Amino acid sequence: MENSEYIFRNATIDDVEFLATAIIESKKIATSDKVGMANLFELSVEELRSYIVQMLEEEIDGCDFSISSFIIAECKGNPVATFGGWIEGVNEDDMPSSLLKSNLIGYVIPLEHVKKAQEKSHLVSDLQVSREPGAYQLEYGYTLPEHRGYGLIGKLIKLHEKRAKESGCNVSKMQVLVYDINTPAIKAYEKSGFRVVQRLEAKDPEVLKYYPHNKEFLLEKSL
Amino acid sequence: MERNLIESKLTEIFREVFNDSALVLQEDMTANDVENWDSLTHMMMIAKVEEAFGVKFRLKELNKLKRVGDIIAVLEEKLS
Repeated sequence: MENSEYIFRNATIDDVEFLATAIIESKKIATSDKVGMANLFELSVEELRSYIVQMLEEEIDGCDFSISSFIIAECKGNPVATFGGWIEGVNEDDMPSSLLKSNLIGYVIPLEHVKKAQEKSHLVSDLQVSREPGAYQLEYGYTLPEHRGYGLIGKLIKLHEKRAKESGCNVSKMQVLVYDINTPAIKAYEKSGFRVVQRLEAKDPEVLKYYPHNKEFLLEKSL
Repeated sequence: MERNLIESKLTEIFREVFNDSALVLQEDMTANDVENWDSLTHMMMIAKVEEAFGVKFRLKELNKLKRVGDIIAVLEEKLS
């Protein structure tokens, strides 16, 4: 595959199925099929996928599940890689992305499943970093297996960096969370200028019943 | 429904969901001011408010509920 065969563009509503795949697959690790969010809410992966599609289709800007957050790499007319990113707290209602995401989840996912997640929230709370207002957040970087090795993630990060700089919001840094054993992703981020600034760990071993791993790095890049 | 009745019902919900029996609501209070107000407890708080007041919020309404005062105002409007 030549680099020239890839084109980059903003995601649209026609990409929701690919974005749902990226949101699910990017949170897996090589040695486990566990999907943390599905396990937390006690949903099958297919149920979760359908709820993620519904949340994306609401077209709420400024959070993890916003179509407008995503940039797509396309090859021969098909999406093959993507990365999401947004400026924390900068949206129509100046809401923290965590609450926009919560509102979407609470609106779309049935209450009995939200309660299941609530019961387990103490297990995973240590893995949730409080997103810094005004900092550019990257989430859900994913490339289809057959398109890996062409630097698509690095190119998508560059495009997010351009978005951040051109936003007019004086964004001073970009942040991304990654499992500490995801060496290929960490290498890609470091190559793009990110450095590990914080280590997060969910100490209760029960978390591994639901999540593929229990340690994360927060990486940052100054702009 | 009268504003003071809305406030007292909302206080009960906040104290239960955010696990703080001494919590006193203030108009300008946001998730930053309440220790356990995080993404998951936020969903439970909204669900309890909808149940207790017999209302259903639209997504656009939910995304404007940043301060306690915003929640009281939208309830006043819906229950008037």
